[in-house]
Amino acid sequence: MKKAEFIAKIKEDLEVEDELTLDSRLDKFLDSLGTLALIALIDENFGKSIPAEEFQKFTTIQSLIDYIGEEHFE
Amino acid sequence: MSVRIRNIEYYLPEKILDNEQLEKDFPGWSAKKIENKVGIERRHVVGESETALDLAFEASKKVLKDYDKNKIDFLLLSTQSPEYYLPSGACILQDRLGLRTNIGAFDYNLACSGFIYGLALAKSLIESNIASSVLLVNADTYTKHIHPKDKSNRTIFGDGSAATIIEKSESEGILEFSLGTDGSGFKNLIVPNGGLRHRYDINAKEIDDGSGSIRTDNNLYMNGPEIFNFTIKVVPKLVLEVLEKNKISLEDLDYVIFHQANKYILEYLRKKINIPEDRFYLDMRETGNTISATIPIAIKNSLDKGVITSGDKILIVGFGVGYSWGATIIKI
Repeated sequence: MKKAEFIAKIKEDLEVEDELTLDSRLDKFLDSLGTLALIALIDENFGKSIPAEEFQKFTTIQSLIDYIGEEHFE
Repeated sequence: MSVRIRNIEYYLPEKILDNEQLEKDFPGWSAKKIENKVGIERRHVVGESETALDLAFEASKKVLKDYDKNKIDFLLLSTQSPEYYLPSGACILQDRLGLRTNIGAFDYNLACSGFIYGLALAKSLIESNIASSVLLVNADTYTKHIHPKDKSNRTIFGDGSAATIIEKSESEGILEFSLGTDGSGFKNLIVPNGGLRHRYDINAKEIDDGSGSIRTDNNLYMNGPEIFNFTIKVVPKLVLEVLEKNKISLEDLDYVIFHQANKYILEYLRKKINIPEDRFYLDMRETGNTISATIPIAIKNSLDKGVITSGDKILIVGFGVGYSWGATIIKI
């Protein structure tokens, strides 16, 4: 997946109105519903589950990409 | 010997908590967003002096209205909101309902899988000639466990009870089961204090979950992300397993009823498992998540609305607290 496409999916699924970049902070969008949306997005696109305690490590979109693995992105 | 569900009735407490009230209690919490995402508009909640056993009594009275109560020879009560550590609520319920005294009765402590396990127990009791007519009652009042400032859980859960009569029949109405347990997740949906491991603590500190919901260890705690991870991992496999066990395909089913956890989770699971939208029950708008009562409430509502009719094959799936899960196929 292209990183731009991933960012667009995050924006859509988490219903974020702000413009997002790889350096955008994720934590402010991760309320209870935002967290579920992110879990669904990662499962659907990468077949990976993210343990709850990992979420606090995702400060930016790039840190989430690092967790998923750069090899999944173009 | 064959076994079937004869009848289901349910009872919801009169008091209602709607999204407008939640919006007042939690400024910034959008009623519309709640409704769109979790599919809940209002929940019925018990009053201060009302218990799960009271709800169980009312639901049982309804289902026994057109049934000779002397035929009941086993009573099963599924609850995680007991009146007492001991005795078993089922014993009190036997007496309140005026059931025979030469019958078996006990409680079992399960939540979202409680209806499935109740059917498995009832079927086993009947097939082994221990009973011929079982009254299965699912009753929970999680709102009593929830902190008033816990907006997430107050949004999701409602109180309610369902009563089901299961009896011998000529054709098989309850097919094969798949059941599962994984206690490694027990801390992810729990009331930590109040049992004998950690006593109720009158000085328990308030804990903010970071998204504005507050609780103490005396209250219900739900680790939403971990519960979602658990359902994604377990439910698709469970569906495949129970279909295989019954040698039936998804296409051959007339309808599918999952435990009504919340709309977001159910919609995701439905798409992941490829269950057609028109054969998938999704309705918790008026009740919220009523724990072990959601599946029998859904069956009853589907029957009343004519969505399911005689002869239909219905997959029912429960999953949650424990972790505990189970599924079976019923024929109406």
